Amino acid sequence: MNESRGAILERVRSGRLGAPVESRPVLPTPIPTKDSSSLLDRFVQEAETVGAIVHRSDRRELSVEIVLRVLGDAGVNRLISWEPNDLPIPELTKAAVDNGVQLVSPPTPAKAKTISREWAAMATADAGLTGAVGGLADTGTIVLCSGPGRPRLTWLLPPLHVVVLHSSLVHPTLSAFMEECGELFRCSSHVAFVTGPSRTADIEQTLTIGVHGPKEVHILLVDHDCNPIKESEAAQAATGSGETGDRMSKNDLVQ
Amino acid sequence: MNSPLMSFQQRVSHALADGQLRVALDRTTERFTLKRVAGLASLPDADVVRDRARSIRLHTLSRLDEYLEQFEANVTSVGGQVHWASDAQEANEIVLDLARSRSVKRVVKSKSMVSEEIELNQALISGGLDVVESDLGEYIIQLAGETPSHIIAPAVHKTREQIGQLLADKLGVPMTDDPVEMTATARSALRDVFLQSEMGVSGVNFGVASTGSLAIVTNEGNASLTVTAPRIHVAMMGIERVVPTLDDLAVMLLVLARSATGQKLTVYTDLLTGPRRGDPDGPEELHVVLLDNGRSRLVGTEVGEVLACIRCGACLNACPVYQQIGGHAYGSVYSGPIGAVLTPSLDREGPWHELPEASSLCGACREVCPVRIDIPRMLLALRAETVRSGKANQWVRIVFWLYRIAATKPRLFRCGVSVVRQLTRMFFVNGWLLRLPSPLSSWTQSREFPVIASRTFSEEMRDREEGSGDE
Repeated sequence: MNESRGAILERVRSGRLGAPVESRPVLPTPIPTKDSSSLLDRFVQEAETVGAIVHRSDRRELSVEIVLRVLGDAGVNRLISWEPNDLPIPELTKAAVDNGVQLVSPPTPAKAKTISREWAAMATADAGLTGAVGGLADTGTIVLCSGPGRPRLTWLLPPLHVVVLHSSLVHPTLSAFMEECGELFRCSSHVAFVTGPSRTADIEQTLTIGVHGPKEVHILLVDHDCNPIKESEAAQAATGSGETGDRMSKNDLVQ
Repeated sequence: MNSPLMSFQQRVSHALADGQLRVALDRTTERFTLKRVAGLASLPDADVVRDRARSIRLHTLSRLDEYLEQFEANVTSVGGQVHWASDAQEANEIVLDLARSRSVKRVVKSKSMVSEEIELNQALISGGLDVVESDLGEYIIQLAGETPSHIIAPAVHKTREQIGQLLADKLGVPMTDDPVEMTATARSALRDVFLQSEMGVSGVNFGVASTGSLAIVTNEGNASLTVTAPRIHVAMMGIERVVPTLDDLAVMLLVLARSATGQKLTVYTDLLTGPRRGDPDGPEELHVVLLDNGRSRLVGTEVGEVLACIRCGACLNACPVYQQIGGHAYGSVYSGPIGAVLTPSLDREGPWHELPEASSLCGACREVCPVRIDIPRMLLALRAETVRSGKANQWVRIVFWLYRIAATKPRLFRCGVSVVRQLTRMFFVNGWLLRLPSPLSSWTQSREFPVIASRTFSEEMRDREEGSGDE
């Protein structure tokens, strides 16, 4: 293996000797001004274009009501939820349970050294409940990151995915997000940019929704105060490198 | 790469005679082309972004060894392992060894052109493992025992009726031609595969040198599941697929999906940085297999630019030759204009010298390429190489030899033209020649040959000049 490593690198090196080194491109990616109202409108419009369903709320009670209604309308009996402290609105999990929904947990508790991979129970869930660390306005994308209380299968396995996104976390573009939240990738081993429900066009180019991932994605875009997900490395990263986390804490202070 | 059984000519004839294939190709390539145009139109300044994407790729290639070392160091620092493979056999052995030493029995795969290139599935299956493709298109062609015919739409050559019949035969479900029902069938069949496999094998769209992250994009979400549920994740990556930073990655992602399917971003764009860290799911182990297989040799050569390719498939859809013959006629996993450059360049000993001829050099591929790869220039370079190495068709060599003599002696050229004109006039029907003797008959078998004009361009010009002189 080491032999190949040396040989490959040597061939690459000897090939590029004599060839000009292309200069490092300058990347002054133009970032549109963060005019928040039009930014959010753009996010909603793009997310709906790719088939997500967006709900907006400016009150915590209303947000809980909306989530319960979405779960109820879809006839959800079994729910996988992120740990309450990892959700922007921790009381959502309890509200769902009080409403008669059964919680399905990952087979192994968070932070365990080795995990059981008996996913069968999780696969029976009708819905997954998560919180986004970001949104991208120009593509209608939500950004999710894995962590101890944030299993990835929550946004992948169930046919319905409900995700809470705070409006202050919406960035204009992917480039802007990378610039502000680059540290995120050092703290989370799986950062997912999800743009609408799972889809395929592999059979005669006919668009079909929900092939492996969720058929429905509901985004709850909230303006009210939120839990800044303090326990998570993700929030620390976001707070450290950008204004997003600060904004959320400010909201908390106002409250 | 395995050599195909039929000759290139036979494969082309075969494809041209396949009516269903022609219909499928017509529909798909046109739709992809229109979507690409709409996708790029949604970028405020697509040309500037493409220029930037190109310069990122060329810059990376010009310092590839440094970026590879940086990438390796960062993958390692986040707990992943990097394996270097000089060729297909070594790569296959690495994966097989990983599987054996960890008692893996079931492997779930998401789409990876590199694994098609090295025929990883066959290697793993011969090693006694169960291997299932999870991309819907790949799953279909795996059931059919075929190979992909398009980089991003592997089952593009099959009609819905053929797929319905295939699922009915192989899975014992009722026959249907409804894509929604067929997709639901595949979803439930593949669920257990994702959840019960011990190893997930994926491709890599880009490896980020500065963080050691792997970027993997899909629309179905099958790669996300492949790299989450199984205990071990093995990522197959060509050595050329590095980008320096996350900012560079963001630029590449701006053009990748738009050029491929016209989407602004694929549904799932996953950035994976090392194995799980106290998470309740995700892989315990992350292995990156860096494959050379002929790539490093191309750095700094006439065809080195082919390494800038990001595998969007836009040049396939735009190519008038691909539109007629489809992917299988190319005989290797990489088809279309990019395949006609890549295949003979990676596998110099293989029977691929005719592939660069499968182009009219119209330049449509270069026009649509998100990183503006000059494919026609490289096709010409490869053709010249074929002539130099003596592999070119005898008749073509003789004709061009005669042409060179004639073209450098104007009197002889004029004389030759008038002889050929007289000859063709004896046989033409309504201005067209319907049949020519061998070897020219291969032209008239499928189309007519026009009669040479009664007056040549230079004769016309001479008359004009004389005429204007009279005035």
